[in-house]
Amino acid sequence: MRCLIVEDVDFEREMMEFFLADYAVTETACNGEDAVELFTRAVAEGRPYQLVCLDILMPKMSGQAALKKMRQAEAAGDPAHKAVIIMTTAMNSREDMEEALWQGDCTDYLVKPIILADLVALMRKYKLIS
Amino acid sequence: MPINEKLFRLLIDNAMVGVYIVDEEQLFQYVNPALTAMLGYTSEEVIGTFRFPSFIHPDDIPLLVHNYQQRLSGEIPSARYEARALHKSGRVVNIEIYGTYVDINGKRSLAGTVIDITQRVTAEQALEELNRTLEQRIATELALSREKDRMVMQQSRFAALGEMVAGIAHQWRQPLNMLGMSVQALQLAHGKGILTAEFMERHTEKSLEVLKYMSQTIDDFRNFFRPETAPRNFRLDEAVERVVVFFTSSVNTIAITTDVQNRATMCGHMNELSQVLLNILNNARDALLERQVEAPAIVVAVTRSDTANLIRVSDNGGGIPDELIDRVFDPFFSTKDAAKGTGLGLYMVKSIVEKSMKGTVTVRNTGTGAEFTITLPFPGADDCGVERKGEHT
Ligand SMILES: Nc1ncnc2c1ncn2[C@@H]1O[C@H](COP(=O)(O)OP(=O)(O)OP(=O)(O)O)[C@@H](O)[C@H]1O
Ligand SMILES: [Mg+2]
Repeated sequence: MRCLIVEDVDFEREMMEFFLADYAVTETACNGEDAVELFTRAVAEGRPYQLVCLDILMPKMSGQAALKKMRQAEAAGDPAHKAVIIMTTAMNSREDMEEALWQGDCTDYLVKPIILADLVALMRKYKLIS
Repeated sequence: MPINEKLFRLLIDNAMVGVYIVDEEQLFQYVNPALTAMLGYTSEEVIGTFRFPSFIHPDDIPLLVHNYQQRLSGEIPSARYEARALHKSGRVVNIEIYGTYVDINGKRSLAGTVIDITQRVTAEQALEELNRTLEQRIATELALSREKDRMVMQQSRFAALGEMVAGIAHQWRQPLNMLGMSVQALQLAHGKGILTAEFMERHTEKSLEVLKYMSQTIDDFRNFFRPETAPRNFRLDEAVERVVVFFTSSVNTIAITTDVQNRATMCGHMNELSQVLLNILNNARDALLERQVEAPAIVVAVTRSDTANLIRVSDNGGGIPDELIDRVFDPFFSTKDAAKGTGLGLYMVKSIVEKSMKGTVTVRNTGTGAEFTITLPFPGADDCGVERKGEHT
């Protein structure tokens, strides 16, 4: 499985990599712009990501904006492939979260602090692992 | 001048005031038509049958008797007083009596006149009642407006508290995540058999660093919201800088710049100005994030005009609809849902600026967004005296 981790805080990005090392080949980006670029290139080169962990609050381009661009990029590639995009956020209210998420076509979300077991459960739910 | 009895009789019978004569026992000897009309009886019913007190309200009888005796005994020749009489129908008639001791054919008697003052008394009572209820109405209104003030105060205290809690919650979410990750990393590494001393050391250090930061956050918030007691001199640009740093620590997706062209000081409470600016910045943040503005930005400028120091906060969040812009300073005016806004932010801004800082605050749309201007007129409170020297050494 190929996974893209998008997170602006260095330590958190590194930990996410460590957590997912057993399940996926990981690549990372520290802002929305870089993430969209990596994602688009991967689609174009026919080796798309199966999983994207996307932080919502980031400088330059917000997670929501990045999410939209990624789905657009995906539409140009293999129609059978749709990445599981899980948004991670430190936003305070769950309401904000739902609104931000469901209008943007993300697959699911996790509120920080992130519990590895929850992330694994989501991967299982979306059949990324068995 | 000879005036005969007949003429007297004519005058008295037709007098507009009541006229009476009573004997020693207060038994009526004579009443004129005006008096019988006043009381609702005929003269036949009254004369030789009723005593004066029979027509008087029980509460006023002692007064009547007292006056009566004083005159009979010769203590005073005459008396003028008010009392309540009772009409035949039971209704109270307010009367004024002017009675005089007379000797009629060797018999000690009292003669007097009575006028009906019911209308005057009623009018006086109505006036009194009006005054009393007016006082009451004013008191009620006053109490109501005090209650409203208290509510607003209470609400704004809640709002400040809510702000503080929300701020801490926001500031803590990230470090909590780091701590959580460190702990889970240790567990994972141990499970994999790769938990080296170095790994352990790194995560312990990281955790302690994060804990320290979390503790610092609480102190920062406490200081920021702590009420100051004595006014002191502070520099406007320093207050601005402080708020911007505080604001940026929780909002990292908005480009915020300061433009300082004036380093004036003012005497007052720096925390109050901080609260004012923070409220304005928070509104700008809300507008920018809600409308998902590309390249969101806020500029805070400290400048001066010929007559005042100016602090201006502008954003590129699209501004405030023209039909609403006049109402943004009203208490409880909010376009946000109840969970996100109480509508007290700008109301507090206005009352702090006007009451505490003796300035004004205005808002306008710039075309790209909203612009709030705080005007602090010269000479204003820019000198706290002694403290000022202390501050600059
Ligand atoms: N910079 C801005 N851009 C756009 N609209 C604004 C801006 N500042 C204020 N407003 C409007 O003015 C309203 C009143 O602001 P105010 O700060 O008094 O209340 P609030 O932000 O809704 O709630 P509270 O501050 O009590 O949490 C807001 O709901 C918003 O509609
Ligand atoms: Mg507000």
